[in-house]
Amino acid sequence: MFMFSALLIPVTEAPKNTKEVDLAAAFEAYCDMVYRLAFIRTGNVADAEDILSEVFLRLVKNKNKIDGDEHLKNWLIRVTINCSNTLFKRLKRRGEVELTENSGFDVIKEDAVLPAVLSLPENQKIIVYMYYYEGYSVEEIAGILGIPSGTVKSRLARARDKLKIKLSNEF
Amino acid sequence: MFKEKFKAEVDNIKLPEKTKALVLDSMERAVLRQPIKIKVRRLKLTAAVAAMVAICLVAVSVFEIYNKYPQNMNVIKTPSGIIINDEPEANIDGLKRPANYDEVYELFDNSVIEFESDAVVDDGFTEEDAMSDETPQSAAQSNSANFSGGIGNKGDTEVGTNSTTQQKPTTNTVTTPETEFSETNTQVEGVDESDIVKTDGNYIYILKTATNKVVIAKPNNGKIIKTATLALTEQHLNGHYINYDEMYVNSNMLIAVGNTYSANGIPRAVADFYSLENPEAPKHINTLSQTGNVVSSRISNGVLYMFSTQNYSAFTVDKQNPKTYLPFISTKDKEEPILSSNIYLFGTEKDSSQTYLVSCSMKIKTAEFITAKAVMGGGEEIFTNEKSVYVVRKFLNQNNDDNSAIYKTKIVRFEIGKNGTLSPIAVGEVKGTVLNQFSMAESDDGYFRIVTTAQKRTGLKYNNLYILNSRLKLTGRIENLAPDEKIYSARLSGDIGYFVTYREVDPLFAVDLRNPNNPKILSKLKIPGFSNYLHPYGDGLLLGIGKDSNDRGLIKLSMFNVKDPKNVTQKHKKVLSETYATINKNHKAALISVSKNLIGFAVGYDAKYYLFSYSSKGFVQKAVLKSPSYFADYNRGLFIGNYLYLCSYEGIKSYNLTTLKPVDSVSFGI
Repeated sequence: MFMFSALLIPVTEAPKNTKEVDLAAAFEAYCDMVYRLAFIRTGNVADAEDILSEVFLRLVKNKNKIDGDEHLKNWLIRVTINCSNTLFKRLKRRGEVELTENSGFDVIKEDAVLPAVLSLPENQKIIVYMYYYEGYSVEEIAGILGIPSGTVKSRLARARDKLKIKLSNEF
Repeated sequence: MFKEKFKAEVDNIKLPEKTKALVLDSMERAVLRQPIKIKVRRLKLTAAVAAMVAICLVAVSVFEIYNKYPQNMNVIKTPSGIIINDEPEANIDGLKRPANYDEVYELFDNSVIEFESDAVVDDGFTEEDAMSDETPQSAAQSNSANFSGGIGNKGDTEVGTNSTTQQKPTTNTVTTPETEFSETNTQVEGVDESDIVKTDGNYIYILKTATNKVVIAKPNNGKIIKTATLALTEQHLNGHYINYDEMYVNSNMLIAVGNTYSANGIPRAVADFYSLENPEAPKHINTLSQTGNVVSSRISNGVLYMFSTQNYSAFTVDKQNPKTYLPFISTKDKEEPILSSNIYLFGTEKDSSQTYLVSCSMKIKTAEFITAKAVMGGGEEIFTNEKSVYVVRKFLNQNNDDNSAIYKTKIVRFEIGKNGTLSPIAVGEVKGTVLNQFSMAESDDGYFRIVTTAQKRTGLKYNNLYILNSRLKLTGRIENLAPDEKIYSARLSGDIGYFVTYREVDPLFAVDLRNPNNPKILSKLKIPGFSNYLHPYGDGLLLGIGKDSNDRGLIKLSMFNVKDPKNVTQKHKKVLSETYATINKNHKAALISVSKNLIGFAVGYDAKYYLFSYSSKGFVQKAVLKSPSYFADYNRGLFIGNYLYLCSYEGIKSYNLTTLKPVDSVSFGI
């Protein structure tokens, strides 16, 4: 409508933020972490890949708002958890992400511990992953997830109890 | 020890290089797509200017539309040749049929519109996405019992109920001279429902929702051969990508059902049709779609009934662009709006957001539309049998003098004509909201039964059973049942209906439905826990699958003795040491065959599939088998002849039903 377009008043774009995240470097550094976290939450490769894709696309959108490496790592973890919360599966696909044979799950040994971890309740699995795999302390986990450290401790304890039962000889 | 093992196993979870490359690529494209943020200051239109503009636009568009789409009510074939058959029918109480598109447009009263200032150009992400990035959400929000899979998930209440008639329990097994095979566990015998895995007794079809493909495998006495991969239609019309959720294999056709998604366009509910004349090379026939998001669909007698909802807002409507206020249907290359005579509007309601329930029927064998109608008001759940479709949706009770129910449910009844036509017949309403499709049923003599949970403005919950006639006028009711509880499952076909409410204990109600004017509660069995799903299991038996305590509790199987509905008892029960099963929220995930005495379903996150039978001594756990996917939701069990096939998009594992020994295992890679 010509009448309306004449009334649009464009404004020049905002000046570039020099603290912008280096996207390629961020991806190289953290794609595995995001993927593993998404896999732990969803238990399947396809959803994990969907979430990986979505998390890094959101990073593109928010690259100006993240300050520093620590912030980036925490931000990625929180967004991954959020994405898997909203069960991303229904949103549109951006390009083909294909499954391969190298998912590493066809060959699960009898005494594997991963299935036991995957069968824990949502709120415990994440903490087990962050504590035992990523090596975060209880305080750090509390900070990232935004929950009291007492909660982290008790969930970790309950997870350990459950795993003890499931894995009788491992703990 | 644990730490080392865990580390090693997680290390094994590697992101494939191919995926890395793809994600990096999409990130690059996203960077390029990022728009310059423009601050737009829009002027307030004065009424006079707007009116003048509107008049010009109306004149132009009415002329155009009127010429393009004649409003003849008895049209058999539309100008672009999409509709093949339609029947005119009478108006129905409470709904008005506009004479032309103008009257439809008038719903959107936009003679004066004020735009908010500082609107930011849409870059493809929603407000919700932006906000959720900022607020840290505790991982504690969800727990394993509430983890809902992608298929058919509803909002807060996820428990599924199933109803089959007492007189004719559906086992959904088909017997041919060669081999008996199981079909999707549906609500009504003879009415098909979509699912992720299907079989026609000859081939097994598995939908890979991640890649829009269908894997076709040929089973042969337990041996499995992957024979073909069908790539479904990726894009529709204007290039909108399609996401498929479920499919049908029916009338020798494969129909994949899904939605297109687009940040800027209107979503469409899509049905992609393929001929299975040669099942190893299915042939694409057509792709039909209708505007809106899929509500649900059914197949009955060779006709696909598809329902979707689409809302339009006064703030985005544009008289010059009919797509902003009219429902459309389309084939793979043609599209047109639904005829104005087929649009049903509420007579007096006028608000800024209008939701259409787009209701279409399509002849499966030829992939052509039969009926295309739209009823104002939207929809959330449907019940379908061979005669009717009932669509219900909840709405806020805005009558402040009525404190009886915060939410009410509106019902639209469609009649299915002999050629597969769909005709809206009546609208009605009841208090409260339904749980899912099993909260409703139509009796053989045409009475509609519905159970709802309502909540008073004081917060008190209560439960109700309503019976309505074919014009949706109330004939009988029982209200205020089980106060403070919620309905968890129901089964309402047949003379005796059953439903379960729960808060701390689970009363299983048996209700006499024979007299539509006077339904009567016959008994109320109180036991701990609840059933999410009820399934008649032969003479005088009712199977219940649910939980032993609350939603996070352990899975429980119950067999109820319902020979004497006045005295229902729980004959046997079995509690598993598992807390998650898809069957608790999706009836299609169960394999139940009364004739073969089999109850099968997948549980948890570690690839387990439980198989039970039932004897006079109770439930017998026949086996715990390994299913192809870790997560229960992706697995389905089916049998062909004497072999059980556990199927998911990741592969198939087969077992001999007598010995329960594994026979074959096939993995689907890409």
